[in-house]
Amino acid sequence: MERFRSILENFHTYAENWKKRSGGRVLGYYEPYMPEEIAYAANILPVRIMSRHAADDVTDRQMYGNCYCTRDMLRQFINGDYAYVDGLVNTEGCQWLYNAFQTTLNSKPELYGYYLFMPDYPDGRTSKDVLRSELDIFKCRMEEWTGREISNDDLDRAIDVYNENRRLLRRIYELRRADHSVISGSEAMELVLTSQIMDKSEMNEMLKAFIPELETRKPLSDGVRLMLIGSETYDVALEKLVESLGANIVIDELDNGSSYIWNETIPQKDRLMALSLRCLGRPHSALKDSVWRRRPDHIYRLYEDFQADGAIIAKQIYCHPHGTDMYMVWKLLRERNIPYHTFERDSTLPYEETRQRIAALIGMIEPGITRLSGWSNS
Amino acid sequence: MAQEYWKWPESDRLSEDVDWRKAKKIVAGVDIGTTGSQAAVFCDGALYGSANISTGYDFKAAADCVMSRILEPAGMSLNDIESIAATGFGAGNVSYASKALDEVRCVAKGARFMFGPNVTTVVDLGGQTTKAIRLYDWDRVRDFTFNDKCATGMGRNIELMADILQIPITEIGEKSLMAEKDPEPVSTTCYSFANPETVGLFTQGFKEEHYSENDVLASYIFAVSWRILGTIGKLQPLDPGDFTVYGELAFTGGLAKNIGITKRLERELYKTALTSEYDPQLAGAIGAALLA
Amino acid sequence: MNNQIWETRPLEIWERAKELRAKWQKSIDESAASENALLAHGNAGRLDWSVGFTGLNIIEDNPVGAMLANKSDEFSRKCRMAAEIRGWGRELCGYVNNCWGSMFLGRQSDGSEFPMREMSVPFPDPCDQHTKRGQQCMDLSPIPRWGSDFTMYLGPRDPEREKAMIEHKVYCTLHVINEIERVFGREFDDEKLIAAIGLRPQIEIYAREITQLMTNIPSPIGQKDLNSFYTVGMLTKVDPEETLDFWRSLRDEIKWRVDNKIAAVGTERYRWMEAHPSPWHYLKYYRYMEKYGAVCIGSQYTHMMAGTLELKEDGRLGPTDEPRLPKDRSIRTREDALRATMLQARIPCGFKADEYFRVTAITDFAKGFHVNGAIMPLWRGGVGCTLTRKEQALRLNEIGVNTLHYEGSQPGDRTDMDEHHFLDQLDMWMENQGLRMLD
Repeated sequence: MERFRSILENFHTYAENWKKRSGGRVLGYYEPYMPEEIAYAANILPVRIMSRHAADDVTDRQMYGNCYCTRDMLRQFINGDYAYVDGLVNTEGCQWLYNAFQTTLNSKPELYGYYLFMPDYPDGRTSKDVLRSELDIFKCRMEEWTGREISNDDLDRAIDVYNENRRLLRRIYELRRADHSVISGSEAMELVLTSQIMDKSEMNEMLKAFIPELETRKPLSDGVRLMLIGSETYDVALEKLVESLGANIVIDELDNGSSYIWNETIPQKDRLMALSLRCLGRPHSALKDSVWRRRPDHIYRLYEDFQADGAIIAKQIYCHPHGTDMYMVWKLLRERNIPYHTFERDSTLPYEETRQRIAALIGMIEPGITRLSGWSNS
Repeated sequence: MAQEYWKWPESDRLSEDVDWRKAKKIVAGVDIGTTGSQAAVFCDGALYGSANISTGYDFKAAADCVMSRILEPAGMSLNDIESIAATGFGAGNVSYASKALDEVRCVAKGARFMFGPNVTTVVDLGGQTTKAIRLYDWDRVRDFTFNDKCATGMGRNIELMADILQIPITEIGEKSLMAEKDPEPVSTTCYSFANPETVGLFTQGFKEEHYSENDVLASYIFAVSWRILGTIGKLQPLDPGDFTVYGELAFTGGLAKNIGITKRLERELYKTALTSEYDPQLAGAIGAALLA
Repeated sequence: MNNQIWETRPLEIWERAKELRAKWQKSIDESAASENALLAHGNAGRLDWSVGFTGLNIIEDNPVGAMLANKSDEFSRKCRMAAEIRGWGRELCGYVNNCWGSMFLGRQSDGSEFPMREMSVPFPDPCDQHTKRGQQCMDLSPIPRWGSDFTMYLGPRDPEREKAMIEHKVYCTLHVINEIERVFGREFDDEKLIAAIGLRPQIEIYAREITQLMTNIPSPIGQKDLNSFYTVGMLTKVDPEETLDFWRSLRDEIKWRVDNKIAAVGTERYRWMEAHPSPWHYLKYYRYMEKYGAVCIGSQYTHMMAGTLELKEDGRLGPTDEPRLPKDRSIRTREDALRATMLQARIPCGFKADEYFRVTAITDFAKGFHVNGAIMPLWRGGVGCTLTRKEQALRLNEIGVNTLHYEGSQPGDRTDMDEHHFLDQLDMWMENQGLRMLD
């Protein structure tokens, strides 16, 4: 676990080293719908642009009202932290991310930039066709950019690597369904986040060695089991706080958490159509859940499957897609008498106030003394 | 020393009806909040002593001080108390407590003691956070909400305004109710928007629409109340089809002493709140003692 | 400094606009009351096809929310609270929270019953909240909802890339029409659609002429008027002939004003542009600016009906493309008609557009309208209202256009409108540019 954690904590260093080692290009992406396989097939390392908690003193000139994540993404580019990135892709999603993408390109005109249209209406009958067409063009652009053709074999290899990564991470998620899980919520989230910045082929080997080790772990002590719903986040501060109070997040419904790994690409002769169908078939993000709702069913299914006792809804302040979905999420949880607490996140997680909230939620679910000792493997 | 307009009077009280030396079981609760700290000592289920002080910047000192305000006049020591529970933002600073409890449960428990067993909706109006708590008919919390991120510090904010405007905090609420009709509120987003807008209205020499000091205060206190209303409204409704059913309502916390706020909340909720003989700021400490 | 005084007089077309507005409201009320009529939530601006269904009224939440904000601070505040306590974030679009809060309250600002929508066809717009809007009425009670897409890409126009996008949009629209026929038992009148589609380029031509006329000094009308006409012009979509006639009359009157040097602000000596629609809750700021002899000539948003404009060699604004519909195209079927409305897969809209529209177009706009300054509000509520504002201001500064930012909630939400502070900002900004209030 320490190896994964170290890579995640030093993700810039990891990508810089990968670049030196492989001589390949690094492509930053912003959105959960990014068809990474196409870039990977061209020997490009797709890395999720992730925010960090740091003081922002540079983005005010270009941005206003953005969520802190997108501000921090720009900040890191301006400060040179992402100097190893050769290009950026925005697969149409929320507008703050689009804004971060565009503003970064304006600040760093030397970067290659590509906008990939992703239907806002993923369930439409022709959505798969328009996305397939977009993927085809994206593939051509990647070929032009790298100067190498992407063959069907290349695509097959990339699809296999990505599917295997999803399958291995799903195995880890399955371990969380157990009555006494062997993995904490923060560890699981660290693994999923790591997969978004690592060469998946390398990560798969690490996971294959790690999972048997994990399975022999002593189960964690019992506690309140919580589900995490809300805006994407790039750290595990909340999960750790929950664990410090004797509870555990056993499942999440975050775009860069479970939703990132939930469905595999089902192979078919038309590789691009297979990729299109996977993108459209993944659990809907709040924004793309724009016509008939799929999120409520998915949230409830996860809740039941992972035997959660309650839910935390953590929304980034100024995250509009999640701000507009709250009504539906509350309605769902209330109808099913599921205890939950909603709160807003920002650049920092104010420890004491958040602790009060989470302790109250745990107390509501399981009255008694809130344990002050941390989560442990004992 | 210049007048401290922001400060609520501190208090401590010992019951003359209870002889703690004869008590079989003594328990205590301590609530260390961001602006005020309270302690309560119970002897065999009866409230014996209570204290309420300003916290200041030294939470540890406040924790020691607030308990000493009961112990010293009573001639009691910490060793006489069987169990002490701490709650509030500064709960971790109560070195003499044997357990730390979450605020929501403590306030709910305290409110039922203070206002009676029928309380269904408790609104805790603190210095740092506003909390709304919905209770089942039995002794369980059904739902709770906190203020939005961008609306924290409402209690502290009014203290700040009292100093800026040089109006004693004990009078702001009443003065605001003297306006003939509430004008539209100043910004209801958060105090950092409401305060300058209010000061702006004063500097303007009272605009056409806000022609008196009381009108400006009404606009300001209405804004704070409106924001609190949002926190209350997000509680799980008692009747899924009707968001206006609140059951029996009680206000606790420092701002519960601001009549300008409580009256406006009652007006907007179409509900008269229950009253109690106890200082509303004691709810957390009383609840902690009862759960200790 | 120009001290010339021009003649000014009220616009005659106002009376007609009011009549059209009242007629629209009546049709909505009748629609809510009538068994034969259908009331839908949708984005009227993008639903040309709706004319094919007799009795189908489509209401968008933007104008409803704007009107609520304009009519009553108190009622719109209550609407937003009704939305907030049900979970809609209070930092979201004021239009949305006003309109759907009114639905949750069950009443409109005049106390009458809120007309419940019977279906939701919220074709996604370039703003995140447009994409999600209309789910409010669907979540409250399960009414049918159909979607489509706002397709986009960056870089030069690429007709090959657009093909699949256009097919997708045409199919989605055909699907909606078929579904309304099936679910509501209504017959779609292709002839009406075809007739309406034929009028579309003409409307766009009139709108473009109005935009070009407003580049004149003195400006014949101001932003506040233009915005109202723009809204009314959209509301009348249900009757395309009338819409066309309205735009023609508006063009004629504005042209007459230009020819006769009739000004919106008689003391015009300063021209400024805005970003986005007017702050509906505080329209009186335009009057305040008149004290400085300042006129607002609009924004890219309010001139959107004119299509995309660029600065031509003669320094005047002209279209980047021909009108969106070719005049000589023979339209025979429903599919032809729909295709004709979707000749381009992307329509730059200010919120989600490529760099040309975000950067170059705004400087062209400023130059074409000869503006001295720009007031670019920073609205916290509504991502589309805020996106790119700061970058656009930087570009405008580069070409010598002074910019002022002020903060607020959203054009339909007065929550954070600190009048005192805002007017102070305006005074300081104008005085810093050497302007004093006129006597």
